[in-house]
Amino acid sequence: MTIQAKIKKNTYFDSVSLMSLSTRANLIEDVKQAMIGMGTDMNKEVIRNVGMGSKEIEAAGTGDLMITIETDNPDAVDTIFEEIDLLFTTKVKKPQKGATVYKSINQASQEIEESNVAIISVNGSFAAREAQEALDKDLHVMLFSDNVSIEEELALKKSAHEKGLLMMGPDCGTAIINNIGLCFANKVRKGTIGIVAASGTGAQELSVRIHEFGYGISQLIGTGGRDLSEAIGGIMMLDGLAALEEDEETKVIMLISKPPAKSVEIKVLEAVKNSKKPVVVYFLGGDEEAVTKAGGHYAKRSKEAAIKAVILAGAKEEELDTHPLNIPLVEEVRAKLSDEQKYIRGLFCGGTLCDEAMYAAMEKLDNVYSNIQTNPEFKLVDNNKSQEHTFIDFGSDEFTSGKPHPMIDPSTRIDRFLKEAADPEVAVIAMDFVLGYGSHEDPVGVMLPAIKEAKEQAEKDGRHLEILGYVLGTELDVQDIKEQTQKLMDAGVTISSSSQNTGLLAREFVLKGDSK
Amino acid sequence: MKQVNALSIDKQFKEKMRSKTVFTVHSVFERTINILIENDLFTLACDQIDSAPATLVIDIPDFNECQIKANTQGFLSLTTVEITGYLAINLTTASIWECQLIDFSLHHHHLGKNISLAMQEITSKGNAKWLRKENSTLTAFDKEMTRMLTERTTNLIESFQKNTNDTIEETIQCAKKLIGLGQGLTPSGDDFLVGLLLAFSTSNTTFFNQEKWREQIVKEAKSHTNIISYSAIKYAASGQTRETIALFIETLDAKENDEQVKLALANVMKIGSSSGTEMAWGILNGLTLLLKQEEQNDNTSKN
Amino acid sequence: MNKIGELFNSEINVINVGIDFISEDIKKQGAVATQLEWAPPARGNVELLALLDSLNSEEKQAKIEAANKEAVERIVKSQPVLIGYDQAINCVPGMTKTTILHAGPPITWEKMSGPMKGAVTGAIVFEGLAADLVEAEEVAASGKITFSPCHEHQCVGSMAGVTSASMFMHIVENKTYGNLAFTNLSEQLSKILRFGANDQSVIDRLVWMRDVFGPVLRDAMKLCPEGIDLRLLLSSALHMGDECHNRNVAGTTLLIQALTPYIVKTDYSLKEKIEVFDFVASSDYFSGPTWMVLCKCALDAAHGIENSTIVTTMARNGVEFGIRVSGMKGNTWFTGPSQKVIGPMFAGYKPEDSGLDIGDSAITETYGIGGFAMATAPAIVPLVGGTVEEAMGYSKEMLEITTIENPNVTIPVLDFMGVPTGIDVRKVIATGKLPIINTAIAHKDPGVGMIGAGITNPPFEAFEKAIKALEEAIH
Repeated sequence: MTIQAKIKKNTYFDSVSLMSLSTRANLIEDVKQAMIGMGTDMNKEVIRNVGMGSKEIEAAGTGDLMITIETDNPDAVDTIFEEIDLLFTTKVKKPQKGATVYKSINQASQEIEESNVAIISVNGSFAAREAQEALDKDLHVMLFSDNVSIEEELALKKSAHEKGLLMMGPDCGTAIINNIGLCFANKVRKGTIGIVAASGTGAQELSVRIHEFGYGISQLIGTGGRDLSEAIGGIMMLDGLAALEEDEETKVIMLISKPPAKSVEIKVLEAVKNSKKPVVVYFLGGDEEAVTKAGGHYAKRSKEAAIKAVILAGAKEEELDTHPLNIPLVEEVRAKLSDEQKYIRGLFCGGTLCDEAMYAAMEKLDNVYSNIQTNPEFKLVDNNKSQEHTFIDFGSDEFTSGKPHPMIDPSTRIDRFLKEAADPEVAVIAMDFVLGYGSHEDPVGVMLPAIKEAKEQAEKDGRHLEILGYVLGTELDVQDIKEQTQKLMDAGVTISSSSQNTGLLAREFVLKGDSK
Repeated sequence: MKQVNALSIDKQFKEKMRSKTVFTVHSVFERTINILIENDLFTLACDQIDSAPATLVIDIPDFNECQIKANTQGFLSLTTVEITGYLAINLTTASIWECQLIDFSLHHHHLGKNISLAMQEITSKGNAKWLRKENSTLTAFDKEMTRMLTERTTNLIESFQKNTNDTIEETIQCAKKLIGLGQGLTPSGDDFLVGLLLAFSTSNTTFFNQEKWREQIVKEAKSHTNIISYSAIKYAASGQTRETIALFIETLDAKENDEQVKLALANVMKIGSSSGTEMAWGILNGLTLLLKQEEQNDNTSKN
Repeated sequence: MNKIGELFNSEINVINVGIDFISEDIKKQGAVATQLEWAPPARGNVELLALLDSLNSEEKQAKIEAANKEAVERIVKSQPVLIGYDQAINCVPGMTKTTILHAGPPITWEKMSGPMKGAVTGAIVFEGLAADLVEAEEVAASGKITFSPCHEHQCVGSMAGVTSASMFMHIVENKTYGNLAFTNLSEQLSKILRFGANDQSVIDRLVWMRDVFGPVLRDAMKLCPEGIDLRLLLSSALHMGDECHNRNVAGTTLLIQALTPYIVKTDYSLKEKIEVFDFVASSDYFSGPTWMVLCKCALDAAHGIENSTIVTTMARNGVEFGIRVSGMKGNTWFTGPSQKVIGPMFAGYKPEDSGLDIGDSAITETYGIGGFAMATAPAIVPLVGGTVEEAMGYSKEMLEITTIENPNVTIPVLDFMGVPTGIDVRKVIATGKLPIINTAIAHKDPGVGMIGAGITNPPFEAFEKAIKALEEAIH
């Protein structure tokens, strides 16, 4: 136990400030007790009575300010007094007359003491710089911007890891911290399931399913799309996993990503192995054996992952409405399609939604093309021209350079939809409509005129155009999900109840009993 | 140099404006600046502050932009108070203020009721931790401070209750143990004594040698606490206090009106961090003592 | 508890940089979000950003901060004192009978603008190096004349700034650091050499200034051995409503008040003394050059400090605008094109008549007065345009690109804020904000004179070049 005192001669502070100083001094790291008061005999007696007397204290005069601290860490004494001195010089906050304009992270974080997160969505060329500035100021970072180099991402994540801060991104569009949705996120209830996600719409899908099953999200940490690449090594996913391990509110952990680089998958599964909490691992198209061996719960599809999570959180499977695939519907649609109509065209705003649907199709079909296919053989030659079964992710860089994201500006997808609808070889067009913060205020509404037009044209041509729509959202979202769904149904669109079902339905519609 | 008008000046302050008198700035706060004129403390207050002894209230919202530092020199004249380069105050616009403490009639039964009400407010809502019923103190300091304040104020009151001129020594000793005790700019013990002094000055009570007691307390305070707190004690000893407190004392004597009492008390409790609450506590305890004394006198006279 | 855990257990408080719907949506959820008013640093130029980042390394930053501290200290502590007047040939370093100094960065005869050529030819005739203006042009082009910037000879010159051997100069000594600085005398009226006029009336006046005005001032100052403390007069002038670049009413009054007792005591005839007083009274501009040379004297003392990014010169020659930086010692200029000056024109003139920004008078802004202290001179607003509020605003805005406030030279209406001192190249690049200069507008043709006044800035290009050089030089 170390006692140390300092005297500030002839120092007068008003009582409110003294109170504040005293309180804040007691909160300094390593301070067991701190006392700040005027140097009167009586106050000295109090100090002596609690065993903190010293010769400095005795020498103080009635006009002097005494500062005395007790600490168990003698090496910290200098730092403590430095911090106390800072308390004296920090300006007392006054209510602003006019709104203060903050031009930089440095300025804002200095003057807004309680700030703890920076969200950055500026042009990629400047984004990394701002993110580093935020980390330097001890702020957690969500980096929405893309077009940040992989070297910059690595430097940022290493820096954040050292400081113990969140570095979500780059290219991170979704997070939910303390039940506040950041950037693109749905309003869901707070609960006991924590998610670390390397995919935005994937995370949105899971959060929405979990909410629908009556459960909730404790925290949703985004890592950005490249986190599980070889170069980055899963830094944020591992740190996120560790944080959820520590978090008392989180009882079940979920990890979501596209298939990680092999070396990274090994690291992540190692962490899963050491986890005391149940971990559901949904790596789209991942390795079931490896996951199970690591003691994780493997999920192949998104709804499946959500079901596993809520069961681990205490749900009873029998009591869940899992919306199994509607077989009679499948048969009905198959019957309506002509022989010429063979192909699926998936037009998606959400990357992972597109991925999931595409993977479902690829399980049974082997001519599936896309702008996001990893297999070069099945990458579209011309992104603007579909080939056989085609799945388009309109949120991908090829479509968003210089244009806003499709969740904000739907025009590119509308144009493509009309094109696909006029193609007589098309059997089903599948589309997602994402609700929630950051999304269009009426995603279905802007598509409706085109849908109606397409349906009318198809009818005139004497063919049935199957349009499959999936609305991602909850009843708490700003956009009215019931209304959105109803509008689609009224226009003759078949509704899918989840991302998982969308892919499966689309695939089943075109199979017609044979699998080419 | 900022030019401002004075709004109100206390009579004592006015007395100092004879010829060019030099002063030094003692301490600077957001809403007040204390100056030393030949070892006496005077206060320059912004328009947020009520009139008070030795105080000049000026037409300025606060002193933040003035950037005045302690130890700067200034001077007073009949028409101006000037801190050269920073502030020039025109005195000709000021109205003169003097503290008017009423003479209590201790027979009004509502006084007792009002006192109870006010005390209850303080123990349930007041800002002084040591007076609160539920005491969630944090540090060993706070605990010890609370213990000492409670013990010593109780001792002081009990010593008064023993009441005679003989016990005056004991009462003085008890009071001395409160001077300088407490963490604020004006220590809690000092504020309590200020309250007691004001309460006693509302009545020409003879149940103890007021004059001697007051003299001793003021003398002790001069050397055992800081000059700002000492000044408050000094003025309280001559029955002078700031407007807000005078108003509070007045409402206690006025006819039954719970809201008035609560409101006036609330304004007093806004003073400082816990100073107002502690001064009010002193006032209430002092008046209670006087009431008890009156009762006893009545009883003895009946016999 | 680690930091992520801390975040999970506290209220989220967001600083949002970029798309505003993000902070709007957070507020809708009842949490705190602050939207930054963000602009890309270095005007979005990624190359410049990289240079800034390089200079921002811990090691380099420490060196630069220390150097800048010294440079700025020198500017602030300099005490320029007027100690005398004498002909250029007798006092200006490097002056010869065939040298002609000019305003701004180096420039050749061929490239000079109309007004400067007019001034040069007039000076050549004045010095007797040619019989008439036509011959003067030949002489100028012949190579016989040595052209050099005033700045490279410890001088400054207003407008064309043409300074020749027999012209009388202010001699100013920096009592703190010992260096000297010089500038010639105001010609007072508007058809004058510094605006490119060069007819006989101009020459005649120059002759009178050489034979009467200059000598009277010289001998007057001989009677004043302690010299005249210019910084004291400058502070007073600013407190009296001047900004000491374009508005010099108070400054001139104070200066002539200081000189008069000595002028009176000189041995010259009453007639000559009356001519001198009448000349000074004919225009408020008399003290204009005086404040320029004060600034030059202070800034020269701050030039040449290794690793410093403080600007020590801003000057224009009518074609190019040049700056010098303390850390690049000697005569390294960073230039860009001279800009247009925007402001109210005198009756009868249109913007097409204006010449480009010219003169060494931007040395006043480099020091922190002139445009930087516009808040001291609300009365200048009708002259340079804008509103009083804007004028007040400039002084505060310039704080963003300078290093400290000069405690010795203050602006009363802004609570005695010291003038913004020490323009930092790094800050100009990072914020994209340029120094503000208020200045006269000269007619683009020689000889017409001042046709208006207004506000202008240096070209960003000059600062870009400077930061590149600094990044290479600072290790």
